[in-house]
Amino acid sequence: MLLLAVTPGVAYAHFTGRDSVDGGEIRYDDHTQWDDSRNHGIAQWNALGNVDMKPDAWNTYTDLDIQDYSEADGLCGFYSNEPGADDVNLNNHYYSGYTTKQRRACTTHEFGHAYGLDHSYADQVMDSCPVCTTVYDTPQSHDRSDWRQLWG
Amino acid sequence: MNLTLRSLPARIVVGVIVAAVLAAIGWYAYEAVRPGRVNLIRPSYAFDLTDREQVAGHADNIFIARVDGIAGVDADRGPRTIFRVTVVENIKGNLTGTVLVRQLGGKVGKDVWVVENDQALAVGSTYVLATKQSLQQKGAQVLLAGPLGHEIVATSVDRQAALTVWRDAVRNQRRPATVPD
Repeated sequence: MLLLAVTPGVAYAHFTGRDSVDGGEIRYDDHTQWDDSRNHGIAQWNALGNVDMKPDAWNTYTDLDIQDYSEADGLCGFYSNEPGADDVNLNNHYYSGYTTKQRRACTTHEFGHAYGLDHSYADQVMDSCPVCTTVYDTPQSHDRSDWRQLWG
Repeated sequence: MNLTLRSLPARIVVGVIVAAVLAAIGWYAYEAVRPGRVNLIRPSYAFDLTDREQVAGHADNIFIARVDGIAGVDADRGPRTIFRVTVVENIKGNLTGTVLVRQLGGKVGKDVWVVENDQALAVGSTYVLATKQSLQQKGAQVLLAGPLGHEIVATSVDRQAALTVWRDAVRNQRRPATVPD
Protein backbone atom coordinates (compact mmCIF):
# COMPACT_ATOMS: atom_id res chain seq x y z
CA MET A 1 0.00 0.00 0.00
CA LEU A 2 2.80 2.35 1.01
CA LEU A 3 4.63 1.51 -2.22
CA LEU A 4 1.52 2.37 -4.27
CA ALA A 5 1.12 5.60 -2.38
CA VAL A 6 4.64 6.80 -3.16
CA THR A 7 4.91 5.52 -6.77
CA PRO A 8 4.44 8.58 -8.93
CA GLY A 9 2.36 8.53 -12.14
CA VAL A 10 2.36 4.85 -13.10
CA ALA A 11 1.48 4.65 -16.81
CA TYR A 12 -0.25 1.45 -17.87
CA ALA A 13 0.02 -0.18 -21.25
CA HIS A 14 -3.09 -0.05 -23.43
CA PHE A 15 -3.41 -3.02 -25.76
CA THR A 16 -6.51 -4.40 -27.43
CA GLY A 17 -5.29 -7.98 -27.79
CA ARG A 18 -6.10 -7.89 -31.49
CA ASP A 19 -4.30 -6.27 -34.39
CA SER A 20 -3.97 -6.33 -38.16
CA VAL A 21 -0.27 -7.20 -38.24
CA ASP A 22 0.45 -10.31 -40.29
CA GLY A 23 3.93 -11.58 -41.04
CA GLY A 24 5.58 -8.50 -39.54
CA GLU A 25 3.63 -6.01 -41.67
CA ILE A 26 0.18 -4.62 -42.42
CA ARG A 27 -0.87 -4.91 -46.05
CA TYR A 28 -3.69 -2.50 -46.78
CA ASP A 29 -6.25 -2.02 -49.53
CA ASP A 30 -6.93 1.65 -50.08
CA HIS A 31 -10.53 2.79 -50.63
CA THR A 32 -10.39 6.16 -48.89
CA GLN A 33 -10.60 9.57 -50.50
CA TRP A 34 -8.59 11.07 -47.61
CA ASP A 35 -5.15 10.54 -49.17
CA ASP A 36 -3.29 13.16 -47.14
CA SER A 37 -4.38 11.78 -43.77
CA ARG A 38 -3.82 8.18 -44.91
CA ASN A 39 -0.26 9.00 -46.02
CA HIS A 40 0.39 10.98 -42.85
CA GLY A 41 -0.83 8.19 -40.56
CA ILE A 42 1.17 5.52 -42.36
CA ALA A 43 4.33 7.64 -42.27
CA GLN A 44 3.94 8.26 -38.52
CA TRP A 45 3.67 4.60 -37.52
CA ASN A 46 6.18 3.37 -40.11
CA ALA A 47 8.73 5.77 -38.65
CA LEU A 48 8.63 3.86 -35.35
CA GLY A 49 10.19 0.65 -36.55
CA ASN A 50 10.13 -2.28 -38.88
CA VAL A 51 6.44 -3.28 -38.78
CA ASP A 52 5.39 -1.27 -41.80
CA MET A 53 2.06 -0.53 -43.39
CA LYS A 54 2.37 -1.23 -47.11
CA PRO A 55 -0.08 -1.34 -50.03
CA ASP A 56 -1.48 -4.75 -50.82
CA ALA A 57 0.13 -6.50 -53.79
CA TRP A 58 -0.92 -9.34 -56.11
CA ASN A 59 1.03 -11.87 -54.05
CA THR A 60 0.00 -10.72 -50.55
CA TYR A 61 -3.13 -11.06 -48.44
CA THR A 62 -4.99 -7.89 -47.48
CA ASP A 63 -4.78 -7.33 -43.74
CA LEU A 64 -6.62 -4.01 -43.57
CA ASP A 65 -9.21 -2.20 -45.68
CA ILE A 66 -9.05 1.58 -45.37
CA GLN A 67 -12.45 2.93 -46.35
CA ASP A 68 -14.95 5.77 -45.88
CA TYR A 69 -18.56 6.00 -44.78
CA SER A 70 -21.05 8.80 -44.15
CA GLU A 71 -23.21 8.82 -41.06
CA ALA A 72 -24.01 11.38 -38.34
CA ASP A 73 -23.22 8.92 -35.55
CA GLY A 74 -20.85 11.09 -33.50
CA LEU A 75 -17.75 9.16 -34.60
CA CYS A 76 -14.82 10.49 -36.63
CA GLY A 77 -14.09 6.86 -37.45
CA PHE A 78 -13.86 3.35 -36.12
CA TYR A 79 -11.70 0.26 -36.38
CA SER A 80 -13.14 -3.23 -36.45
CA ASN A 81 -11.65 -6.69 -36.47
CA GLU A 82 -13.24 -8.76 -39.19
CA PRO A 83 -13.24 -12.45 -40.15
CA GLY A 84 -11.18 -11.48 -43.22
CA ALA A 85 -9.27 -8.21 -43.58
CA ASP A 86 -9.88 -5.77 -40.72
CA ASP A 87 -11.46 -2.37 -41.41
CA VAL A 88 -10.57 1.23 -40.73
CA ASN A 89 -13.66 3.35 -41.42
CA LEU A 90 -13.29 7.13 -41.76
CA ASN A 91 -16.44 9.23 -41.48
CA ASN A 92 -16.91 11.59 -44.48
CA HIS A 93 -19.67 13.40 -42.61
CA TYR A 94 -17.21 14.89 -40.11
CA TYR A 95 -14.02 14.65 -42.18
CA SER A 96 -15.44 16.95 -44.86
CA GLY A 97 -15.53 19.84 -42.37
CA TYR A 98 -12.42 18.99 -40.39
CA THR A 99 -9.08 20.74 -40.58
CA THR A 100 -6.17 18.78 -42.05
CA LYS A 101 -4.81 18.29 -38.52
CA GLN A 102 -8.10 16.84 -37.24
CA ARG A 103 -8.32 14.42 -40.19
CA ARG A 104 -4.71 13.36 -39.66
CA ALA A 105 -5.32 12.88 -35.92
CA CYS A 106 -8.31 10.60 -36.40
CA THR A 107 -6.66 8.55 -39.17
CA THR A 108 -3.40 8.13 -37.24
CA HIS A 109 -5.49 7.05 -34.24
CA GLU A 110 -7.35 4.41 -36.26
CA PHE A 111 -4.08 3.03 -37.62
CA GLY A 112 -2.89 2.78 -34.01
CA HIS A 113 -5.75 0.33 -33.40
CA ALA A 114 -4.53 -1.69 -36.39
CA TYR A 115 -1.26 -2.09 -34.49
CA GLY A 116 -3.16 -3.34 -31.42
CA LEU A 117 -3.10 -0.13 -29.40
CA ASP A 118 -6.13 0.66 -27.26
CA HIS A 119 -7.51 4.00 -26.13
CA SER A 120 -5.26 5.63 -23.56
CA TYR A 121 -4.82 9.18 -22.32
CA ALA A 122 -6.18 12.58 -23.39
CA ASP A 123 -2.70 13.86 -24.32
CA GLN A 124 -1.96 10.94 -26.66
CA VAL A 125 -3.02 10.22 -30.24
CA MET A 126 -4.83 7.14 -28.84
CA ASP A 127 -7.21 9.37 -26.82
CA SER A 128 -10.75 8.03 -27.34
CA CYS A 129 -11.60 11.43 -28.82
CA PRO A 130 -8.57 12.18 -31.01
CA VAL A 131 -10.07 15.43 -32.35
CA CYS A 132 -11.04 16.86 -28.95
CA THR A 133 -9.23 19.49 -26.87
CA THR A 134 -5.57 19.58 -27.97
CA VAL A 135 -5.38 17.65 -31.24
CA TYR A 136 -2.38 15.33 -31.52
CA ASP A 137 -1.81 14.01 -35.03
CA THR A 138 1.43 12.18 -34.24
CA PRO A 139 2.16 9.36 -31.77
CA GLN A 140 3.07 10.81 -28.37
CA SER A 141 5.35 9.35 -25.68
CA HIS A 142 2.88 6.82 -24.27
CA ASP A 143 1.67 5.85 -27.76
CA ARG A 144 5.26 5.16 -28.78
CA SER A 145 6.00 3.28 -25.57
CA ASP A 146 2.95 1.03 -26.07
CA TRP A 147 3.89 0.46 -29.71
CA ARG A 148 7.48 -0.46 -28.84
CA GLN A 149 6.30 -2.85 -26.14
CA LEU A 150 4.30 -4.72 -28.75
CA TRP A 151 6.55 -4.48 -31.78
CA GLY A 152 10.04 -3.71 -30.48
CA MET B 1 -8.51 -25.11 -83.39
CA ASN B 2 -9.78 -28.47 -82.21
CA LEU B 3 -10.21 -28.25 -78.41
CA THR B 4 -10.39 -31.86 -77.29
CA LEU B 5 -9.44 -32.87 -73.74
CA ARG B 6 -6.15 -34.05 -75.12
CA SER B 7 -5.12 -30.54 -76.09
CA LEU B 8 -3.11 -28.50 -73.59
CA PRO B 9 -5.41 -25.41 -73.55
CA ALA B 10 -8.46 -27.58 -72.90
CA ARG B 11 -6.72 -29.36 -70.05
CA ILE B 12 -5.71 -26.03 -68.51
CA VAL B 13 -9.29 -24.71 -68.74
CA VAL B 14 -10.71 -27.89 -67.17
CA GLY B 15 -8.02 -27.76 -64.48
CA VAL B 16 -8.84 -24.17 -63.58
CA ILE B 17 -12.57 -24.93 -63.40
CA VAL B 18 -11.99 -27.99 -61.19
CA ALA B 19 -9.70 -25.98 -58.91
CA ALA B 20 -12.28 -23.18 -58.64
CA VAL B 21 -15.08 -25.63 -57.81
CA LEU B 22 -12.94 -27.36 -55.16
CA ALA B 23 -11.97 -23.99 -53.65
CA ALA B 24 -15.63 -22.94 -53.50
CA ILE B 25 -16.65 -26.23 -51.87
CA GLY B 26 -13.81 -25.87 -49.37
CA TRP B 27 -14.77 -22.29 -48.53
CA TYR B 28 -18.45 -23.17 -48.00
CA ALA B 29 -17.49 -26.19 -45.88
CA TYR B 30 -15.20 -24.02 -43.75
CA GLU B 31 -17.93 -21.39 -43.33
CA ALA B 32 -20.40 -24.10 -42.30
CA VAL B 33 -18.24 -25.61 -39.57
CA ARG B 34 -16.23 -22.67 -38.23
CA PRO B 35 -17.44 -21.24 -34.89
CA GLY B 36 -19.02 -17.79 -34.75
CA ARG B 37 -16.65 -14.92 -34.07
CA VAL B 38 -17.03 -11.95 -31.76
CA ASN B 39 -15.52 -8.87 -33.42
CA LEU B 40 -14.77 -5.75 -31.41
CA ILE B 41 -15.42 -2.30 -32.87
CA ARG B 42 -13.32 0.51 -31.44
CA PRO B 43 -15.11 3.82 -31.94
CA SER B 44 -13.36 7.20 -32.00
CA TYR B 45 -15.44 10.14 -30.88
CA ALA B 46 -15.93 13.18 -33.10
CA PHE B 47 -16.55 15.28 -30.00
CA ASP B 48 -16.81 14.77 -26.24
CA LEU B 49 -19.70 12.30 -26.21
CA THR B 50 -19.57 12.19 -22.40
CA ASP B 51 -20.66 15.85 -22.22
CA ARG B 52 -24.46 15.88 -21.99
CA GLU B 53 -24.82 19.49 -23.13
CA GLN B 54 -22.74 18.85 -26.25
CA VAL B 55 -24.67 15.66 -26.98
CA ALA B 56 -27.89 17.68 -26.61
CA GLY B 57 -26.51 20.32 -28.97
CA HIS B 58 -25.55 17.79 -31.64
CA ALA B 59 -28.63 15.56 -31.45
CA ASP B 60 -31.65 16.26 -33.65
CA ASN B 61 -33.87 14.30 -31.30
CA ILE B 62 -33.76 13.22 -27.68
CA PHE B 63 -36.69 11.09 -26.63
CA ILE B 64 -37.89 8.29 -24.41
CA ALA B 65 -38.75 5.20 -26.42
CA ARG B 66 -39.59 1.55 -25.98
CA VAL B 67 -37.65 -0.90 -28.16
CA ASP B 68 -40.21 -3.12 -29.90
CA GLY B 69 -38.02 -5.26 -32.12
CA ILE B 70 -35.30 -5.57 -34.74
CA ALA B 71 -36.28 -4.50 -38.25
CA GLY B 72 -33.05 -5.72 -39.84
CA VAL B 73 -29.29 -5.45 -40.02
CA ASP B 74 -27.34 -3.34 -42.49
CA ALA B 75 -24.14 -5.32 -42.99
CA ASP B 76 -22.29 -2.52 -44.77
CA ARG B 77 -19.68 -0.50 -42.85
CA GLY B 78 -20.44 -1.73 -39.39
CA PRO B 79 -22.75 -3.62 -39.29
CA ARG B 80 -25.68 -1.54 -38.01
CA THR B 81 -28.71 -3.07 -36.31
CA ILE B 82 -31.98 -1.34 -37.18
CA PHE B 83 -34.36 -1.26 -34.21
CA ARG B 84 -38.08 -0.50 -34.30
CA VAL B 85 -38.97 1.75 -31.36
CA THR B 86 -42.13 3.47 -30.15
CA VAL B 87 -41.80 7.07 -29.04
CA VAL B 88 -43.07 7.58 -25.49
CA GLU B 89 -42.07 11.19 -24.85
CA ASN B 90 -40.00 13.84 -26.65
CA ILE B 91 -37.36 15.88 -24.84
CA LYS B 92 -35.92 17.51 -27.97
CA GLY B 93 -37.58 17.25 -31.38
CA ASN B 94 -41.05 15.98 -32.16
CA LEU B 95 -40.96 12.36 -33.30
CA THR B 96 -44.14 10.35 -33.14
CA GLY B 97 -45.26 6.73 -33.37
CA THR B 98 -42.86 4.07 -34.58
CA VAL B 99 -39.31 5.12 -35.52
CA LEU B 100 -36.39 3.14 -36.95
CA VAL B 101 -33.15 3.63 -35.02
CA ARG B 102 -29.79 2.45 -36.36
CA GLN B 103 -27.12 1.37 -33.87
CA LEU B 104 -23.53 0.39 -34.68
CA GLY B 105 -22.91 -3.32 -34.05
CA GLY B 106 -24.99 -6.43 -34.50
CA LYS B 107 -25.09 -9.96 -35.83
CA VAL B 108 -24.43 -11.02 -39.41
CA GLY B 109 -24.66 -14.75 -39.98
CA LYS B 110 -22.87 -16.41 -37.10
CA ASP B 111 -20.56 -13.46 -36.38
CA VAL B 112 -21.29 -10.71 -33.87
CA TRP B 113 -19.88 -7.17 -33.81
CA VAL B 114 -19.70 -5.56 -30.36
CA VAL B 115 -18.85 -1.90 -29.77
CA GLU B 116 -16.23 -1.25 -27.07
CA ASN B 117 -17.78 0.05 -23.80
CA ASP B 118 -21.25 -0.03 -25.28
CA GLN B 119 -24.33 -2.21 -25.08
CA ALA B 120 -26.81 -3.08 -27.77
CA LEU B 121 -30.38 -1.87 -27.26
CA ALA B 122 -32.48 -4.61 -25.66
CA VAL B 123 -35.87 -5.44 -27.13
CA GLY B 124 -38.58 -4.76 -24.53
CA SER B 125 -36.56 -2.14 -22.66
CA THR B 126 -37.17 1.60 -22.48
CA TYR B 127 -34.42 4.17 -23.02
CA VAL B 128 -33.68 7.82 -23.46
CA LEU B 129 -32.24 7.95 -26.99
CA ALA B 130 -30.14 10.76 -28.48
CA THR B 131 -30.26 10.53 -32.27
CA LYS B 132 -29.65 12.32 -35.54
CA GLN B 133 -31.33 11.93 -38.89
CA SER B 134 -29.59 9.03 -40.62
CA LEU B 135 -27.62 9.79 -43.76
CA GLN B 136 -27.69 6.12 -44.73
CA GLN B 137 -31.40 5.38 -44.43
CA LYS B 138 -34.04 7.94 -45.30
CA GLY B 139 -36.54 8.47 -42.49
CA ALA B 140 -34.48 6.54 -39.94
CA GLN B 141 -32.58 7.90 -36.96
CA VAL B 142 -28.99 7.02 -36.09
CA LEU B 143 -28.08 6.59 -32.44
CA LEU B 144 -25.26 8.83 -31.26
CA ALA B 145 -22.32 6.77 -30.02
CA GLY B 146 -20.99 6.98 -26.49
CA PRO B 147 -22.48 6.51 -23.03
CA LEU B 148 -25.21 9.16 -23.42
CA GLY B 149 -26.59 7.97 -26.76
CA HIS B 150 -28.84 5.51 -24.98
CA GLU B 151 -29.60 5.37 -21.26
CA ILE B 152 -31.94 2.76 -19.88
CA VAL B 153 -35.08 3.90 -18.07
CA ALA B 154 -36.17 1.00 -15.91
CA THR B 155 -38.49 2.69 -13.40
CA SER B 156 -40.64 5.80 -13.06
CA VAL B 157 -37.94 7.23 -10.78
CA ASP B 158 -35.34 6.66 -13.57
CA ARG B 159 -37.67 8.32 -16.02
CA GLN B 160 -38.19 11.41 -13.87
CA ALA B 161 -34.45 11.70 -13.25
CA ALA B 162 -33.69 11.31 -16.96
CA LEU B 163 -36.26 13.94 -17.91
CA THR B 164 -34.77 16.38 -15.42
CA VAL B 165 -31.13 16.02 -16.53
CA TRP B 166 -31.92 15.92 -20.25
CA ARG B 167 -34.30 18.91 -20.16
CA ASP B 168 -31.61 20.81 -18.32
CA ALA B 169 -29.02 19.74 -20.91
CA VAL B 170 -31.29 20.80 -23.77
CA ARG B 171 -31.78 24.20 -22.13
CA ASN B 172 -27.99 24.60 -21.90
CA GLN B 173 -27.11 22.77 -25.11
CA ARG B 174 -23.88 23.69 -26.90
CA ARG B 175 -22.79 22.88 -30.41
CA PRO B 176 -19.60 20.78 -30.13
CA ALA B 177 -16.65 22.98 -31.09
CA THR B 178 -14.85 20.10 -32.83
CA VAL B 179 -17.80 19.31 -35.11
CA PRO B 180 -17.99 21.35 -38.30
CA ASP B 181 -21.21 23.24 -39.17
